[in-house]
Amino acid sequence: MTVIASIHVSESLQTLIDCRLDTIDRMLLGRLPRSERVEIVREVESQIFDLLGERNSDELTREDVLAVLARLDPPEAYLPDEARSEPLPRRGAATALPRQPLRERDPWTGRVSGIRLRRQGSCQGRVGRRGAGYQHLCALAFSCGRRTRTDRIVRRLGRFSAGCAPAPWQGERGHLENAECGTGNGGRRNGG
Amino acid sequence: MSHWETQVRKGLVELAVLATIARGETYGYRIVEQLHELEGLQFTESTVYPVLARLARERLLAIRVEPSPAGPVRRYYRLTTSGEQRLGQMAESWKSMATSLSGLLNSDPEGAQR
Repeated sequence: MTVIASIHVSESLQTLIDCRLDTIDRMLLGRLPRSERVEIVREVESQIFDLLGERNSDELTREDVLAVLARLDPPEAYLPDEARSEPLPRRGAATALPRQPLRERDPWTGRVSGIRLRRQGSCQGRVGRRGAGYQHLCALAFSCGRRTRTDRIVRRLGRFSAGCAPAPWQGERGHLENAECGTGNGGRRNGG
Repeated sequence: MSHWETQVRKGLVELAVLATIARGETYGYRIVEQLHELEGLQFTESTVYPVLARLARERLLAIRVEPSPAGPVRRYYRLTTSGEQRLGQMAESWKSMATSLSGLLNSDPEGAQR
């Protein structure tokens, strides 16, 4: 018989668990009645806590939760077979603009065509005093759905300003040209 | 696992779940664990929980909720009268099919042609 100790889950770890449960719920959305979706998600949550209770560690860590989540079926497993072969709907797909390749122009003047600037507002809060071109590059990074690229561009711009690097639009031209405007999801992926 | 085997297992999951619950009141994760111990019936939670939810909606299962020290409440399932009837029907069908198929597989092909 398994003795299950009382489990205290911090808010951040509970968020991690909730994220997985929400993803499963999204997989079932539109395929099952709400009452059944709720039942299934409750069972999964109960199983997660049972598995956490089987662990010997005194204090629950993020690694403990991730290890338990890794033991579960992936959220996609809850899709019916025929739906698993369909591509998952992309976040924001209903409002997405047609894809256009990026064309390099002068980023410092902000004249970069074919780039949607849907995340420019959030960029302005971060780099508002650095000029329109800088903001456009930042927006480009966001609109391409790769948050890390923003950091790379910011670092590169810093090195360029210090005279230690070529202009951002030089040297990585292929990198920029090969990028396409994505769904503006900030680089996040679906899935738990 | 072959596609054929997957299809067969899929058709049997409801019977397997009902038969497991018929052995005594139990909860979701325990059902998954019990089935996992049986060769050929290793259904995982993504297969079992949707079936449990559907059977409960069809009132073939009754649910008793009990607090769990591990976290959220635990839901114990048992068969209702309708569930027992359904299990009986399914078990009869399965036995009939299994007997016929076994006879077919074990018969002498030359004897059948005579």
